[in-house]
Amino acid sequence: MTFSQLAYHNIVRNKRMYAAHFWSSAFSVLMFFTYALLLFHPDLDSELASSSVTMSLLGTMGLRVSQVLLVIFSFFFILYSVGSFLKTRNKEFGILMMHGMSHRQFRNLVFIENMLIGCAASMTGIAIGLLFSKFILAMISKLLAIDNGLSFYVPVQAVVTTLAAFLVLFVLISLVTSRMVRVNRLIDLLKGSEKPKPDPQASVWLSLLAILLIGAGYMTVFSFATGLSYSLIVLMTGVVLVVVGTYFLFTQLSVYVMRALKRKERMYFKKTNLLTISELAYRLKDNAKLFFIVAVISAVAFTAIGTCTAIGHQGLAEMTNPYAFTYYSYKGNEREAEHAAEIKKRLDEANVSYREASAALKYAGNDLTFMKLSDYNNMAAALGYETETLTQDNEAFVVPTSVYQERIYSNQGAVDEVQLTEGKTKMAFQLIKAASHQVLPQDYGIIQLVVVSDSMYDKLPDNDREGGASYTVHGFVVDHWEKAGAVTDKLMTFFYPENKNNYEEGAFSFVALYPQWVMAKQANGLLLLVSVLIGVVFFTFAASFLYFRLYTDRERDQQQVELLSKIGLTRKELHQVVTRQLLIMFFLPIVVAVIHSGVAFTALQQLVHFSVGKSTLTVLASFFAVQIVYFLIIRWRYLRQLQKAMV
Amino acid sequence: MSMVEIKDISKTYAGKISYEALSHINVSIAEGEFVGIMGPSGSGKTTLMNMIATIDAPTSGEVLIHGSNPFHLSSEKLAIFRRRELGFVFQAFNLLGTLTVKENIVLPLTLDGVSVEELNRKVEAIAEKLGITTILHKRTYEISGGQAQRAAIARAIIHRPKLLLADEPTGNLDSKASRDVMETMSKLNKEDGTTMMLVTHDAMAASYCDRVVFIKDGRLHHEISRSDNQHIFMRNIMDVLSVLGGNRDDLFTVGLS
Repeated sequence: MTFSQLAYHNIVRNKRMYAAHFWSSAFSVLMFFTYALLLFHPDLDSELASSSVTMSLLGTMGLRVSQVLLVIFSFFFILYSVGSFLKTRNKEFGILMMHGMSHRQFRNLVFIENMLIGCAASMTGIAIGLLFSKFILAMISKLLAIDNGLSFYVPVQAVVTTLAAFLVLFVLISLVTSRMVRVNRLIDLLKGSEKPKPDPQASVWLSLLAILLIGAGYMTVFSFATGLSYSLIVLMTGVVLVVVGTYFLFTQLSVYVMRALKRKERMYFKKTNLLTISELAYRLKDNAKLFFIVAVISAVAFTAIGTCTAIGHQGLAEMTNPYAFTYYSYKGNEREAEHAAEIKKRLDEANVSYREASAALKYAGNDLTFMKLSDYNNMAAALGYETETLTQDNEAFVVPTSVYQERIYSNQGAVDEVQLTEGKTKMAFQLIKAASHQVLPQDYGIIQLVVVSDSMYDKLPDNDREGGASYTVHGFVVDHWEKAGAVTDKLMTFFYPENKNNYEEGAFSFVALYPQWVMAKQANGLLLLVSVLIGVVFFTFAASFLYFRLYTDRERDQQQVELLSKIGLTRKELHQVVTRQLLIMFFLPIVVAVIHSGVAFTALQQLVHFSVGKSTLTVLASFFAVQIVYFLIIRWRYLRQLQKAMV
Repeated sequence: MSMVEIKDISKTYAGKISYEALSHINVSIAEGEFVGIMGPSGSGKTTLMNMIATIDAPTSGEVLIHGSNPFHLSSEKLAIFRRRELGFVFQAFNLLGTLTVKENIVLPLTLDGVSVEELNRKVEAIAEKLGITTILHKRTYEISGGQAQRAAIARAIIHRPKLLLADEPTGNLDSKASRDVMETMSKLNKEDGTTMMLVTHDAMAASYCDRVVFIKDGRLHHEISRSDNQHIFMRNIMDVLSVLGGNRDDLFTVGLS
């Protein structure tokens, strides 16, 4: 046996111990490889560039940034996992030292071991990535709404970059970890982790503080979302409060609850509760910081992914423009009727069902733009809102023209009266209400949109040139416009034969939701891609940390189980105790993360109109499902190990 | 020159209540001698052994091995000193679970960069001597306690150390296995002239020594040397132990053969 064989045997004969470490490392390699696969894809740039140049730049930047982030996180993650394994091997190192292993040899041993695992993990990650690259590319082209799809290619550059990045990373890790174990006092190494731990303590006040901080944080976030205070500082304060509160929740409150449970003797001394609770108290205290990090990271990942899926939702595009197609006709446009007819004809040809409504807007001065009641009702009907009536000529109501105005109106209501003093005309309208929905595409040029009766509208002066505009809007509502890509293309080419993306100033303009949505979707698809992949990596790391912790305590647990089984603990009872402990260890941080991100989503809901519930639930449910699978696998492995110790 | 020279060593564990585990101990072990150290539980036997083994440093006083103080060596030189001059046998065997019996035995040679041919030759010779040839390729969980301890002894002597230190080597073994292990050690002492130091509370094991040093409460208490008859020596040891006090279990773990 040579020295390197010793290192090799240490790993190969300890496969199970290194499995979680190995697979998590391979997984982060796979994620990095996926990014590289995209980044170096020959078609991706041009495909994204066909939507817009900015998009392709954003794509490249996004992928680069996430690669860097990924490498940084992987570094700390792998460092932690290697560190926790080294700790379990203190005694082994002690024995080796006693037989004359020098510091230098020790560092070499750790270095070789790490490099072996690192190389194997890199190879495995890349191999899996290559195997599934076709599938990965297909998924991503769907996510990024790339019409032609991404073709399969041989990603030589991606393989080389990934290999290089992770080899450097593993060399660094190996260098750092081999210096982590303090080998000055042999006797400490030999005694290992035999020292008994002190009874976990918790403070009542800090436990209360945890609840208070989290409560205050939630309230702050809500006050931001409901518009009571509209400043980013408020939002940040809320987040910080919740994070600090969560820290105390895990370090103090959880331990305090366990102590309180111990005092309830009737419950504590009932069957296996004694074992479950006394063990949990130690485990919660030992892993408090880990749980805290897992909870916060998961909450951030959930919220980020949920927000990105919400932004990609077509509802967000509809929020700013409810019409699939909008045709604006300005003064002097002679082809308005002809164009409107053309749009209808094309839509009919394409078998797209639609509801059309048009409205003429008149700018009368004093920052006031007017609309006829009959026009408003047509539009409201087309959009599926309630129609309105005005009983008297001097009555009117306002309609929001932006999401921001909508919030203002719904919070404060409209001013009671508007007055128009323009030249010789002096008119006043009594405002009876504010409409709850926009009926026009978002237009910041309109300061206040007032709906008046048809007869009054005709009497209003037209002051088109003074800072406001009078124009006619033709809106076409299409229920499933996101599927109307083909006809959109034709219409765009019809109106703008030279350059379909060029909205020139002219007597008319034509706007379609579809290309805007595609662009937003690509932007968010990239964001989503970045956040999902990084979120998933985080999540895997978090779950692996738990496995490492269990593995670190394995020997002690086995001794305990052996002892307990001698006293007469049945197999079934062992299952019960372990299941309960693991349930809490696996799901307590996740449940806290879900509650946190749930609050974040509820707050988000206040800011937008369509429901974010569905995308939120999908995100949370899929993470939960993964966690359940992970829980079952680890419980199975852990139980199998403990059962070996049973007599 | 004596092999080991323990000069006035004391060991104090600092803490809320400082505790003096060893107090002004002086012992010297001649080359080729087989010395036993006995005493009740908690008397400081293992602490003393750890000082000689360079695992733990004394608070005051010094340990000289072959006239030099190993604690003055650099960590690199200390490692090489352990590798070449010392051999250890523990109560808990301390074989590495990831290695086979053979790999465990050759460990000190591997660390020293000895060639594979020489290493194989040595391991075969030593396995023959200790009667463990058949288990060389087994993993540590596949062998019995007596076999494990003999493997551990093989590992401790394969590099022909000048000093072999054994901490309760029979502590985990039954009487038959204990006797086998002690016979093995005694044979090594006689045939190879290896200096040995044995910490034990087993009078049968101690009766294989040339001389037994008794300590109690961290202080040197008594010392007896072996006459010709091992049985008489064992009787004497037990007499001293009963004067020293301690558990009856300490005295009668193994009956007379």
